[in-house]
Amino acid sequence: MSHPLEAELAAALSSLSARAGARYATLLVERTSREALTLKGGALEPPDLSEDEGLQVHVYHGGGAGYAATGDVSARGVEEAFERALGWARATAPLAAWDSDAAPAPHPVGEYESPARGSWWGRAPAERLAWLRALDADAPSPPEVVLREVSALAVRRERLWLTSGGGRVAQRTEELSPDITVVAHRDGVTQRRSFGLRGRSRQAGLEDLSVEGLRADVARLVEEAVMLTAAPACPEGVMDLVVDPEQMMLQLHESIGHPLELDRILGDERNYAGRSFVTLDMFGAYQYGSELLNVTFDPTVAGELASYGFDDQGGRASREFLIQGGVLLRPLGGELSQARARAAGSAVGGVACARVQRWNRPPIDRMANLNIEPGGSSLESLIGGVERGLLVGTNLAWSIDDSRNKFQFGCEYGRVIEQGELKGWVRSPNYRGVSASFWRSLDGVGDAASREVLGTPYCGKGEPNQVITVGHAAPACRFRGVEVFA
Amino acid sequence: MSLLSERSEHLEHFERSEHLEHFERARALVLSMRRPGEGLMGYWMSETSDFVRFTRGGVRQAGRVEQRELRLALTVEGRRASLDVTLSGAPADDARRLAGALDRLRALAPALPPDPHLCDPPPSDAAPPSPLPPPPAGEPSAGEALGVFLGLSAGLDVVGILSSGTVARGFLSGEGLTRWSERAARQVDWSVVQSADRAVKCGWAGEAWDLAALERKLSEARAQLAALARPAHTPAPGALRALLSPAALADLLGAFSDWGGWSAQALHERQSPLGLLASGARRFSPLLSVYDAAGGAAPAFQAEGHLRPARHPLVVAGGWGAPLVSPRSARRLGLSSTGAPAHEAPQTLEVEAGALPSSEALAALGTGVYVSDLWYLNFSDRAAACVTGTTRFATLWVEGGAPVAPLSVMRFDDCLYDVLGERLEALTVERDLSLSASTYDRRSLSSTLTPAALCAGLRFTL
Repeated sequence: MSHPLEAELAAALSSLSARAGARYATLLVERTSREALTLKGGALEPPDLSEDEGLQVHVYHGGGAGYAATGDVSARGVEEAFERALGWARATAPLAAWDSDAAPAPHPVGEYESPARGSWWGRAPAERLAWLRALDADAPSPPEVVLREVSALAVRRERLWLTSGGGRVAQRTEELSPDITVVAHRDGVTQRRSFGLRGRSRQAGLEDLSVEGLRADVARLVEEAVMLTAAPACPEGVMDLVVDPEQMMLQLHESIGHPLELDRILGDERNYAGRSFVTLDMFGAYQYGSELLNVTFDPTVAGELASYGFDDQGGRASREFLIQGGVLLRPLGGELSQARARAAGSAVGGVACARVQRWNRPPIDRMANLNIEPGGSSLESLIGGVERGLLVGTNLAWSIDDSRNKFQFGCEYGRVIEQGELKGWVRSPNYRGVSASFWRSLDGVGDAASREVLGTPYCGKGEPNQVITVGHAAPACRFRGVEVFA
Repeated sequence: MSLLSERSEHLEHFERSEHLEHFERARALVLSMRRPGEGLMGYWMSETSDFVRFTRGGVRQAGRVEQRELRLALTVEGRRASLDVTLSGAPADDARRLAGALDRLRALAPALPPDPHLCDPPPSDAAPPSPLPPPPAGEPSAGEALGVFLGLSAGLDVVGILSSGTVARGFLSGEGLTRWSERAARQVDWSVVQSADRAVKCGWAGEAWDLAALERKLSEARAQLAALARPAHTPAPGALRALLSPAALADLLGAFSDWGGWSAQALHERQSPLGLLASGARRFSPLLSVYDAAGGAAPAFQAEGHLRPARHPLVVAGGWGAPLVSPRSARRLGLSSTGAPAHEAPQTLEVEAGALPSSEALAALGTGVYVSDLWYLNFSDRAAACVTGTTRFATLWVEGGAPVAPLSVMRFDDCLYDVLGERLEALTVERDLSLSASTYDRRSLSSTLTPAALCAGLRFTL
């Protein structure tokens, strides 16, 4: 992997850095292609494509730091961006919230390429369209269905990250996100079935996906959406819940992922995405959940949506336990956030998670792949252990307070569980709880067979705002005594 | 005046806006590449922005972003595809990028079926675009404004973002239509934190820095901190009288905007949370009238070159106004286009003022909750317009018309047909204009103009 202008851009960065007396400088060069194809009721919507190129320069100088981003990917672009970044570094050094002279200045060398069998981009446009049409071919269309949308989102991204001291990281990923949404309406009741927030997004190629499986999903979701329009409302009360992996994705994301972000704990997000009920002194001792709860940060899972070799500040990716046996061990914080925490008197660990959405936004702490490790229970045994409760799945609505504590989720479907047996379908189940106590009510974790590797491209955070990909693998999980309502 | 005033010369030069020049050059390039029989449209989005993120009174990240994007739509024999291409500003490189973008669209177009719902852009009828006038003489730079702001907030725990620069939107068509909108955009969106989750949320936006206004806002926030230092009040779950600040009312109505409330397409697909209002099955209070008004910061045109109406009725005296209809939905659904953008959401949401003077609002509330801000709204029952979310920032418990304590963060879950229907007692005379601080991909130009709302009950659940 290389960029045709790499030598020229690297030389510009090095000479500018030396001339300015910068302690450290980095250059991110990015090129991204994107294609979104959508069939609505079998008819193709106008395709939506993009071609994006740009660069971002960071300069650490005199205790300050600044960045600049431009679409001009040339030596001149690097020079202009460097001067602007240097200007901000100088201007803000007296007012900096952290000392850039004490910040990490890594110079890693490495490459990463995502697995993708049968690249989307290697097929002709007509073949790509034919692939999508095959998913929707022969889809049932009962009169209750008011929307059937089948789509594919493909993204190809190349990032080259260089440092003033010879660091070089080249990463190339291909993401493929098949998606299905069905809306059915009958007698004033509207119900939806879908993959939930593009939850099947992966680093993948066409041969990693099963056309037959996705076609079956279309038919299944049509059938379920229609069935739910005639289903009774969800029962209300305190009961046990078995949560499927599609809903676990959001439960994990909102009430473990976000609260563990170190920049949030340090206070950076208090004006926008919020703070955290987690504090620095909790790491190493706080019982976040029951002893069945094991959560890893793992950008090394082949094919999971947010896998990479290095984060966007040069941190080398590795698998780390954030929570083990229910005990909180380390936050989601890149090396800079860890240094800031140390400067504040807390030597917490961290992970390589400083990421940018795109060349026009600076790195901040993000989730990447955040996974719940499988336990030892089959799905049948999780259900079998419930006297009165619900199996709920696929996120429909999500809301959580700014400390990431009081949450409420809505799901697309529910199945009644009575005396350990799965019974009828119910529509629109909602449940609410408090993060700090909810995970302690976890008393069953599904085995590897119940685990699904999912992901979504829609995680928002930061000022200026950034939306980024995250991967979440989770098994089905059982929680005791949850407040459920229609 | 500030720590930065002597260091900020280098931050000034971008104010010599080059956006229109770049747009005109891209337009000429694209039109020169057009082939016979091809329909072309382009929507231009560019900005030069300084972003300074600050926390605990110090600078966390500071930088400059320059970005130029052209959304090209190519139509060949009734088949259309669109592509967003990022441009560099360098003529030769932009020619390469635009040629590559058109090649990609041309390779795709023959594989597409004819699209029966295509709409052409309007004919050429616009005045020639004019560049942004230079900034007022003596206006502080972003760096100077930052220095003053942080100086004024000394001793306070301030966190947020300062954004400053120029934002432009443009439209071009192969038939010769050109539209242009460009504005200087200065903004600070911040919180003054008392402790933990207690804070005063503040915002200021304008086309030129107004340091006196920033000082005034900081002083007002400083004065509110004492109330937040008191022990928190945690009411039992249940319905409580509530005074929703203009920001909180904008958040509630924003739930409709964000989830297709007024979208003709969403209504057709039964996804709109306002389906019952549109069908006449439910109404809001006669006090409530809502419009999507032209003006504000948003451009007067959408991405296909169509003009937005001067004032589009969304809710009229509590009843359904009219849907927002994009040109494509108009063709698909057999409706008249309202010049709405593709996602059919209001750009400049305006609520008519009421009769309650703001100075009397707390007294009218009596005992209940003053909701300064809401957070993370989502639908617990979309078809019934039931919304959940939590309180945030300086939400206060009020007794006898006087704030007595900050409210512990509370979750609510309620039906907006009720909250803004029979339970809506009054809207205030005064309204707050708020420019969106959203910067996903690019700086937002949407805004809201809303009064405060006095409600007989808001149902808190947790």
